[in-house]
Amino acid sequence: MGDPRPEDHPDPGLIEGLEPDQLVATSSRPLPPRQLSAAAKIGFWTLRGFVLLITALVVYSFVVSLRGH
Amino acid sequence: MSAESEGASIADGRRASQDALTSEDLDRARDRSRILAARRDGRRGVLVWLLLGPGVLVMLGENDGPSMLSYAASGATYGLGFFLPFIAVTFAAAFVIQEMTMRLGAVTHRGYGELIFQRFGRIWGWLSTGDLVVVNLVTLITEIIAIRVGMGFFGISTPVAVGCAVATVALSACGSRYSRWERVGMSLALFNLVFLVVAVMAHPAPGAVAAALLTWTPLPQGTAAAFLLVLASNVGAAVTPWMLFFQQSASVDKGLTRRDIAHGRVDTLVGTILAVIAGCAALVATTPLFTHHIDTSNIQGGAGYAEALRPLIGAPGAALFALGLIEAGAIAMLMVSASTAYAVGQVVGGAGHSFNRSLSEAPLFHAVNIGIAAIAGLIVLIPGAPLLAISLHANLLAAVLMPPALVFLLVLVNDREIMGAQANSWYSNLIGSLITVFVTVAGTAYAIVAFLGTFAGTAS
Repeated sequence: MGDPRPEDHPDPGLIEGLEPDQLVATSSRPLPPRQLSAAAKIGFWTLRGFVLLITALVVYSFVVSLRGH
Repeated sequence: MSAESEGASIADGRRASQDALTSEDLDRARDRSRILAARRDGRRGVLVWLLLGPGVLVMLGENDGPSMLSYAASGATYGLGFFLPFIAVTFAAAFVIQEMTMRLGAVTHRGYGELIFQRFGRIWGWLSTGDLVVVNLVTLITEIIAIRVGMGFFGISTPVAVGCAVATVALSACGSRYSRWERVGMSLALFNLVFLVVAVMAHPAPGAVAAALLTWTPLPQGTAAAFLLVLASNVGAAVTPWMLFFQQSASVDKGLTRRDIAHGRVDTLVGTILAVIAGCAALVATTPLFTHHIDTSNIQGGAGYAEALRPLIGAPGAALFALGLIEAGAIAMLMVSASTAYAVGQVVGGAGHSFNRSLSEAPLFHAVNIGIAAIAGLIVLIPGAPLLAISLHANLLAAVLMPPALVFLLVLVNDREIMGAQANSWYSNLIGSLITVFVTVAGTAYAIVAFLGTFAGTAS
């Protein structure tokens, strides 16, 4: 987190324009983690596996195109 | 809790937070004060103007070098017809997705990477950010290639072109103020419409343009594989992972709140309309190559299209096409670099991630913003680097990595713990799910066709 700029200490009215949870001190506090169901976890990992498989096809076609040039 | 004690609690919380005010808060508060004043005084036009930004930037940023070349290839290969309205439909899909990211940012005041990291855990946060960094680096290489070939049309050398591209990213962040960075980006982004001028110079028949838009005809001729490649390439040109990270983070950096969501939609819609106009114009601009039966199968660079168009639309039109490519690459560089910096800054605990912070206040954010552009530039300068192969695979990689990003977006925007009443409606979910399925199918088909094409190439 950056240091405040003391010379810029604002009038309170200016900061009133921001919502309380917009302030960096508030928004930098992490939100609580969401509890994922087993089905959601399986779904996410299945999608990740699928994407890796398709990415492997892309990498293969990229490597083949390198040989062609 | 009574309204009085609740008000006292908020005031106490605000006082406590004010003790830890940062320069980022102060700069954002100054920008917000103008918005609040315009809203209070009923100056609607000023309010719309002040709240334009992330939506326009993300949509015109997506009309980048490779995207414009995809549209140009569609026009040169198939002429007016199916792909003209198809571009509008892909951007309509992009609007639906981007509206969700804007809403997430305005409600949670957190970036996309930050939300994945906090709500789903470190593994998914780092995987999402890792995907983004890889695809963004590849995309930035293609943007610099577009700038290089555009400048090459005017005789500017590669090192100078690369230096200009990286310097644009570095200079745009000077001033440590989001609003300044945003307005610099928007000024540059409007030059995307230079393709409209080139399209007019191509003298298309207005009736044929209107007929194509209304009837989706004539349908493309040729092989199914070639059609599928162009189709998926156009999908990849309109919906990419960096857009999600960028617009949500930029909406947070701008200071959007729940009250601004309607204007955020207007911002995204204006960006969508401008992007459709520019994208369709790039397609129309190259249709003379189709009507004159010019073989464009060997045109694989932007300067190639500009050179091929020169005898058909004149030197000024060709020069404008090359200028448009330079602009498309430059504006996309700003957005893609920024989205990387936002994402990395958000998942590295304690690091600042805002253009309202100076280099000394957020060194990681600024280092990533400029550093990834510089690395892309250095790769372009490597003698013999496989730039053509990288260019041809950039949209493909973006399309393939898009489904996980869309799924996380849909889950987040339906998370009532963080979104409350702003969570997705059933019809937003229906449209969002259909788009996710379509992008997944198009990306997968694109990858499989490219994979099978390697065997055909080997056989021949």
